[in-house]
Amino acid sequence: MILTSLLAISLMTGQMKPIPDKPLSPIHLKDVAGVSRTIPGASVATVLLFTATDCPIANRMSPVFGRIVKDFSAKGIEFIYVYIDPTQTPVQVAKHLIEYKLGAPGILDLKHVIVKATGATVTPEAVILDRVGMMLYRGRINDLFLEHGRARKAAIREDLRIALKEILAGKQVSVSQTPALGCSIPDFGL
Amino acid sequence: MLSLLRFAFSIPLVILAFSFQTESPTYGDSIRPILAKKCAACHYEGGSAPFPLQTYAQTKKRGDLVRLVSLTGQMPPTDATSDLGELTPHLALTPPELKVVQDWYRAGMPEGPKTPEILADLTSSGETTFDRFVAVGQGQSFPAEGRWARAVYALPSLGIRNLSGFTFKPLAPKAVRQAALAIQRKGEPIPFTSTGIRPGTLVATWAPGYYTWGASKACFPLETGDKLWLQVRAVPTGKVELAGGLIGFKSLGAGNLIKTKTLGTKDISIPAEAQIHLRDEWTLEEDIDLLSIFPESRFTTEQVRATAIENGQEKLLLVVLTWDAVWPGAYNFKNAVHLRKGTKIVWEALINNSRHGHFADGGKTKNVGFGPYSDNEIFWCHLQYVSRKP
Repeated sequence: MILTSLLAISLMTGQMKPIPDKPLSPIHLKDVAGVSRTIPGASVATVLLFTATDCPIANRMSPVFGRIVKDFSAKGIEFIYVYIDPTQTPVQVAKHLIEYKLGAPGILDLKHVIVKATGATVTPEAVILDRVGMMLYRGRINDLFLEHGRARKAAIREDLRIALKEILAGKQVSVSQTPALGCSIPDFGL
Repeated sequence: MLSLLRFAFSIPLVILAFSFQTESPTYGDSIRPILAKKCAACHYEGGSAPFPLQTYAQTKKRGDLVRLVSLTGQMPPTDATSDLGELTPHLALTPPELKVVQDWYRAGMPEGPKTPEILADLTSSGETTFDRFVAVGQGQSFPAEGRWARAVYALPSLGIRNLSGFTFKPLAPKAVRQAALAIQRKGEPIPFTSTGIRPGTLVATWAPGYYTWGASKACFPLETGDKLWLQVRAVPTGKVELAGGLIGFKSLGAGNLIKTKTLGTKDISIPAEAQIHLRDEWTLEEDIDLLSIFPESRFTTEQVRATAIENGQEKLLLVVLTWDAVWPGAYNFKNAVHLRKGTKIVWEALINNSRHGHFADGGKTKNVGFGPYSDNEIFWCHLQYVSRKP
């Protein structure tokens, strides 16, 4: 019994790796439009939105992404979509950004440089970095999905929005880590 | 002594290692046949599923998800069973199939022998044999978000007397979850309402990967002045999707005439936090061959069940263990089920309006009644059958 509980706890904590306590080294990559990007950017916070063209849960979150990007870009936050599937082409990614009205640049993370540095595990997932590369938040966008195939009528907690508002207000992010639910990011043998 | 102990321990280890090695299933030997039989109808390039599962690489990429949704019973998306006949298509994975999926995943998803790509199973719905196609809903679209979307189309006159088959090819296969065909007889109102299909008007249904009726020699009689309507239900995909599609029809010279009986009631009152069951029944006045059961329920429904009671003996006609309000089409019997005159058919829905309900948000719930909105409930069951000559 005790063994089972211990196992359960270790599994749970295993899913939620602690967020790094050291700043990430800057990453320089070109987005799918050919523009050079640096992560983290120069703005107060850079938000990385992990996604994939064929993940239905990430796709269904697109209108939410679009609204968050619109609302917080205006307040100086920088957004970059990170496409995790190296079998896709920049053209497919560029088309996806337009089709789903995502409103920010996209990087195809061919070698999983960003995935590995941030510890992102599923799509959709968000990571917020400050300008020196300290991770301020990693986790879900909101709690719309309770489990695979089971969505609430509407989200109750808008986790990413709350974190961004706290950052803009100069506060510490109250919940810096949430479990993200979606399509696992495979290692693609990388 | 020490060497004897070592010997005693070494034997079981060798056996274990041996058995693991021989029992590790591979993609080519064990997984591909399951995918071809149970997944290919939807998981092909351009199909209704979000991604294809036609090759080893595609399956390995999704191995984690494939294992998870198989084990939790979420895929294939049916957990309906019946005591009285095989349902088509019966897609649920069997316990040995589930074990194979699990063992394969644990063994690191080995490929095994090289195999060709699984071909999309487009002939399962008899698509090639449909003799009339009609396009509907061009230029219309479904919204990018929300709980579900619904579109209703009036169809032009078909000039068909006996309808014996129906299929639907949606323009947005990843959004559309169900299509239903219903009939408006002369002088009657439109068959589709926002509170379900008008009793007795259902003609046929379609869902991705499902067969439509048409396999039996039964047909639906159409008379001059009858009008067919199509209702399409879709789930949002995150972008605006094209509504509409192509409807295929098949006609038959003569056959056993299909009749439709609707069970259920508008008299629904579900108190907040309550778990209740709704019930309606129908006693047969003649011998029938039951062809299909099409339930209509919404988000407080957790399970639906049809029981046949003959001379005090109960038999389970259909049980859907995990009800999904947006997904299913009709549950069709592979071979029609013979039910005798005097048999009572009982239709029940298990309702969970508590905060722990399947689609609840976890907060306090409200009273739920019959109505047109997604947070209202409905309780209908359309049975299709043919009269059996005594």
